[in-house]
Amino acid sequence: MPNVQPRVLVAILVYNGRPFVPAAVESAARLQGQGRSDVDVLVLDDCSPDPGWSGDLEKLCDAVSVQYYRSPRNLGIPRNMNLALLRALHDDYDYVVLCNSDVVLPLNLCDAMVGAVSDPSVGSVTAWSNSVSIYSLENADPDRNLAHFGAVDFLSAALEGEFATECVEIPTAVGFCMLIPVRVVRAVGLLDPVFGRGYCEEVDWCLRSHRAGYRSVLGVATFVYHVGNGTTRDAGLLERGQFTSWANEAIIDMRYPDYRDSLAAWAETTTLGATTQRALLRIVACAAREWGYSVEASWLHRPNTSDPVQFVVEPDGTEPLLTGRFQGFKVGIPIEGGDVLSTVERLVGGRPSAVSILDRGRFAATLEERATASGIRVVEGRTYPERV
Amino acid sequence: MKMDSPDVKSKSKNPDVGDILDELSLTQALLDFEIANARVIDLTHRLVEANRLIEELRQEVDDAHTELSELQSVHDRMKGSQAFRIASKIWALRNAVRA
Repeated sequence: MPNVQPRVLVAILVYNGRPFVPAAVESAARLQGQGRSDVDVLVLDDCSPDPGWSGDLEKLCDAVSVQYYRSPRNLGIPRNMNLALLRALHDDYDYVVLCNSDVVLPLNLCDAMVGAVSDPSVGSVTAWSNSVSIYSLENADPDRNLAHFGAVDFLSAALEGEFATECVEIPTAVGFCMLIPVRVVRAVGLLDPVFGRGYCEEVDWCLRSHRAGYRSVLGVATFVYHVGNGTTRDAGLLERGQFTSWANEAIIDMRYPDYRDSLAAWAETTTLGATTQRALLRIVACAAREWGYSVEASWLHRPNTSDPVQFVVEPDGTEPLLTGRFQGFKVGIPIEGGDVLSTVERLVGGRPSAVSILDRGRFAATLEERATASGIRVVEGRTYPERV
Repeated sequence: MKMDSPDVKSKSKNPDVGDILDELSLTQALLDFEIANARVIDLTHRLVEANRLIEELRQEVDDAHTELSELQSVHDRMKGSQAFRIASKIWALRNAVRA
């Protein structure tokens, strides 16, 4: 029996967005012809009014060999998403991915998300991201650190290495990048146009899918950079300082009176916190293996441009606190047996390039001794205490 | 610069994609209209019913106010009667003796 690749339609929903859409389209175009899935990319331009933009977008799509369609009238996000679902149904795709246009997609997107639906009870998979509602993997400066192909590819590969097909159950998907098996679309139906121009339509769809016996999960083996509200602010759906449509939230409250309580219950019982810790440790360790790292004892950490990965320990805290840092990601690491160097070397599997001692203290002294004994370069930076 | 007209035919370099999506979009739009229309009719019925209920409740509140007003008047007349005044004094004397 020939090994049939699953067919995936990746639909990018566009409304204006000239500053960020090209990156989304180009990152999606890379998905075609690689990986374990047979991927087609379709850009759905919801009658963008920005003069000349649709023409430029169509040329871009042609240049990177992705399909392009411009609606003759503006449909709003739910109905534009429905076009993607209808296309997937019509052409017998196995999966459809609905994407905002303020994203950068990694190479492993489809493989990782298809892997998460190996369990047939999964009705939707949401990609992990720096900006995915309450499930975010936070970064101090995502626009600077994460908005390029190299970053998302590296992070996704690291997460896939850690999690494979693991996923975390969540109360509802987030529509910025969600995969739906087409058989589930047939069972549950389309998104409800009552949500107008957008917001909460995917919440409603997911809660309907749950009533049909399906689950929503977070696909933690892939990472998508997301600007957040880029599409909707540009479309005028949100006022300044607003992050949702309160009118649409009211429809959700009316249809699903237990929904808010279920969010609170999920927050109490979820394993996402532990998963996040694993993810951050993995990212920092992989980065350290790839680019090397240094260790620093200081009260006030300052980013080191020559070492993208740094492990920082408080020189003399009442409780030992070791923090791993990489490109805006930060993770707390328990120190094993009071030995900072062994803890880090065991995590990374290699020695640091240097140990910097910027402040005095018990841990700083031990660290300096161990580094010297191991032949690791020690950089001294003490003049006066860094902390007041 | 000329704005794109909403009547401009949807564009796709791949004519198949454009034709397919035009047809899907139109078919779904007609379905969406049917549902939207049915919702308007349903919501109108519910609005009319809600209005009727509001009117009923308003009438009940008015009736309750009127009854309260009448009862208040009876109560005031009773408190102002000689029999009530005598009874109040006897009761006050009894409480004073017991204290």
